[in-house]
Amino acid sequence: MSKIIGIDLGTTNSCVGIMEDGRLLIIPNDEGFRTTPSVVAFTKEGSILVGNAAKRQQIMNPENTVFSIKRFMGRKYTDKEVANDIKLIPYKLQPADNGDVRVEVLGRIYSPPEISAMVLMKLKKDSENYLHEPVEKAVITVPAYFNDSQRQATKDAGKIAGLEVVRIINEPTAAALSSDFDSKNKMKIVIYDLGGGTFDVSILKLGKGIFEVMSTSGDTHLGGDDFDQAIIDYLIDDFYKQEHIDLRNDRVALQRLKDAAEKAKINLSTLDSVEITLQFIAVGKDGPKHLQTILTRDQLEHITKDIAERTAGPCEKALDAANLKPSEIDEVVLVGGQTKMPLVRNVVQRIFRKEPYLGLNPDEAVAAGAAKQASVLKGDIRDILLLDVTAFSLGLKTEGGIFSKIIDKNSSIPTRKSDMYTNTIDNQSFVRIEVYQGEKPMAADNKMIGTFDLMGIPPGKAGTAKISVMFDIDANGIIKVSAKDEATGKEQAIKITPDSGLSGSEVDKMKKDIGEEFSKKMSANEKLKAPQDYREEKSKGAEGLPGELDSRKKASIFDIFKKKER
Amino acid sequence: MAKKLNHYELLEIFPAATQDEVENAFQSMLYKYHPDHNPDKPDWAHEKTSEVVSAYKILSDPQRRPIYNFLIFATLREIPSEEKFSIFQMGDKKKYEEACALFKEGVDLYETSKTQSLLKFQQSFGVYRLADAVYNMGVIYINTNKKQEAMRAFQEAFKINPESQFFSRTVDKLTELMKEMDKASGQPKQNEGR
Repeated sequence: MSKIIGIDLGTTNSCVGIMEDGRLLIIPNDEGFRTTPSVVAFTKEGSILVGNAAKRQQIMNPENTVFSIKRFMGRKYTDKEVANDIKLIPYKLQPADNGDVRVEVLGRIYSPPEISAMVLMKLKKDSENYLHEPVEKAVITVPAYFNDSQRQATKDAGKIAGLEVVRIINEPTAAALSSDFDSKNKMKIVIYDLGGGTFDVSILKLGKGIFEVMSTSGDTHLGGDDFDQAIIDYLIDDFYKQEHIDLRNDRVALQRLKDAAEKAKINLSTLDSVEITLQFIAVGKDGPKHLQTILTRDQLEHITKDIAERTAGPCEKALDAANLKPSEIDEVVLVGGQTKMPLVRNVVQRIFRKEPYLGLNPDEAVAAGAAKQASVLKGDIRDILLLDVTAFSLGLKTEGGIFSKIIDKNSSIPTRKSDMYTNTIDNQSFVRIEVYQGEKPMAADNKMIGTFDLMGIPPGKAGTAKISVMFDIDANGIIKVSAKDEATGKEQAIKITPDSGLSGSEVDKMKKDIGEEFSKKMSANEKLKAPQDYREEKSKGAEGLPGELDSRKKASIFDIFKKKER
Repeated sequence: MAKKLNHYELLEIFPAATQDEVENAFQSMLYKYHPDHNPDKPDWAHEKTSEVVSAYKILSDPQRRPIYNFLIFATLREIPSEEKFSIFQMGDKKKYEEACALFKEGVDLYETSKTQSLLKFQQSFGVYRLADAVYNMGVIYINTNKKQEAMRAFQEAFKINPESQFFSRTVDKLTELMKEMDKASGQPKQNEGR
């Protein structure tokens, strides 16, 4: 059976893991780094750059460098979160015919799954180079708070990249899976996952190797980016006070500020103060201006305190839903780069009244968990099982536009609920079912998933037809609706009109187009190899480690081995 | 169609199983049925896992398990008991037949909509004092966790038909259940001022 990699497809950075002979391995990229920026750049010379190379040229080419694409996966252009984000990104967005978000770069239109696919293709290629064999299957992680459309979009991205997505799992659950807690023993843990763009909190019950999620909550628009933005705003205001120049309208300046803010934030996790210097950031009446200021940890904590505090609400909701009090939690595990910030750790400690557990690598835990799940699906691991929950209630639009719930949020998945439908007028031949996800009492205030037309109902008097409709949420968190005629036992025809996303044929076309574009435009030394090349190399190659790895890559492999042996 | 297993049968445990036994059984069943461990039959695995999970959720919940136990005993009456009418009671017989028709509609609607079904039993009972109709109203009340209303309905059924062992036992069982649940909710979880 071919190998299955685990991919943490992050907002800012992505990471790949695999289980090899029972050992967990993080696969470094072609530059030897264990995480890869989720950035795709289109250069004016006509090539496509992904990862570190794309990030490096971002300042010079902001309009054509796409980052944080995850924020737009499965989203409508008119979503209020999108409206906020548009102000903060230098590349162009526009609505598609069905209202989904599209990205416009150098006159060409891309869907978010296509951009994500380019990141995935890069990760796939680096993994193939590293493992010396073709990789065709992956487990990909998403925030627990991703709805059906966002999950579908992620699956589509995989398909476009030529990867069979064998499972979508939730990031906090993956992190829990990667932990070295003895899952044979009963314990309750909290995963507090504050990443680049999203916040998830999940509470799990461990025992007999089963990772049972009890509840989950979060905020799809809360993460490290918001901390950076607070610093940027602070720097801009400060600069305006001194120079009376507003940097907000200067895209290049904004990009430089973003880099400086992120760097300052990271350094202030260990230092008490940092100096921020941006030469020639603007030009005033009396010549060029420089931004030069000192930022202390106290100041940083003052300006970002409210953002960190916003994680408290979801944590309390998760505790309530699991019917637990903080003292019943055995460990609080931190995941996501933003949890390295001391302020965040203090907030966590206050909420759960417990020192957080720091045993997981916040940048790699999610990919490691995905790799472990891949191994379960391959059949290599038999004594571990994941039982996740759905973060949203699923329901239908009923009379008067009221949302009637069928599956409650925090229900374990996979799950199936059936409902019986009948004809309300004589000889009615079809019933329309509108499916929504969310918690609001009115259907229209929730996220529409799609419309299902039950067709071919046998003619008869009102109330005589008996069609049982099954609502499934599979282990990926993806919704399926099907129907059966109770009288005949026959599968009932159902026409599904999803409210968003790409059709199967669109995905197939994109797979072909993006595949071609990508291999043509990747810079020469990064050309994709044909799968047979790997097989040849492998048969030639020496035992164990591939021969031509440079010393840096070797070092990282040994690091992993050392880590595992500790 | 095969007979639907009740939650205890599904988890292969006795109704008297302790909480630990319920949990252990659930965990074993999960390994047996979960789609991750049954890649060759995903649909079957999905359905079985879903059933096992919902069985476990009810049996592991100290509030829901006693109600479930009660509902295994007090199931919907599907056919109203027959009554004999003399020639002088033809008016009543007509009403009885009308009530039976409404009763049947109530039974048919039970799976589709509890509200609609309840309405039919209420109408049926309004037309003719059918003990089974008011009994079924009680069953629906229990389903929607209205224990007081259910108690009144079962007592009414027993009043109409005092010879029925079954109605009398239902009233006793529900009395027991309500005592048990009062006791359980008498010691609520402390919420440490959250």
